[in-house]
Amino acid sequence: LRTATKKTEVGHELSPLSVMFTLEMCRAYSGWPENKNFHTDIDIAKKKGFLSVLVEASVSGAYINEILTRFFGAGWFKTGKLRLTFLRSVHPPQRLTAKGIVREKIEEDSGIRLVVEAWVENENEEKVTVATASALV
Amino acid sequence: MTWEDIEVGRECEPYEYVVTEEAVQGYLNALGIGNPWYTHDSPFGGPIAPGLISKSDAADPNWWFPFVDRSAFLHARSEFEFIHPLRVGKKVTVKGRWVEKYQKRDRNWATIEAVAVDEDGLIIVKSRTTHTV
Repeated sequence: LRTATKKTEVGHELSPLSVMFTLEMCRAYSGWPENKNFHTDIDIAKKKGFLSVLVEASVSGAYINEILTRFFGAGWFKTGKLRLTFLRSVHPPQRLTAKGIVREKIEEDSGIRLVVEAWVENENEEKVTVATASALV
Repeated sequence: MTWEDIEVGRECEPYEYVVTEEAVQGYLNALGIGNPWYTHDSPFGGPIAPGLISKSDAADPNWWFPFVDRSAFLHARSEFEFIHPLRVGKKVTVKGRWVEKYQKRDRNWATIEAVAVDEDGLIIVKSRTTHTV
């Protein structure tokens, strides 16, 4: 699972993760049918002015977190830092793809910290969430 | 209550949750992903929870909903610092406090910082979430 090492170079691309996120998944993630809101109920979403239900922003954060987990391995859970900024709304069904690239290597007392620029894009290749992440290797 | 009622520095009511095997499986199914570390074994000995399984401890609805206009509730940013993995089945206690509020682009914003600690006293994650209010 672990692919990041001290020898990982700036410019290394993380393995992407691509998922077709459906209405059923959106509802499951947001607690349907107990939770009826604009994340789960189409009528409520339309009354709020949306085209359809709105995917919770944290969904794209979860996909970014997963590619970072697979990249950094165990170190992610002990030294990982993640900053997410949510840019665009997502309506299902929508293919979401998480990607990342190593942008910087920083020497610290306890090791080398790799800094990753990561994002989730929709099927129009628009970034819906962007992130800066890092962990020790 | 509104944005004006948010007191920077005020602590939020702590809350607890347990990440069960069922919760992890439901989370993975909803996202359409799989990883044996979450369901079978990990380098830490036994399954661990995905890092963002709580979505963000600092975004707990019970802390935000008294103050927000839910129809215009915008999740803008979240930050996380992972300290220890959360083992599946452990109880987590989350403490938080309001750390800032400001106005920008005709919107009201506020931020909560939270710390999640497991039943053994290990800090799992520190988080920080900013929403429109």
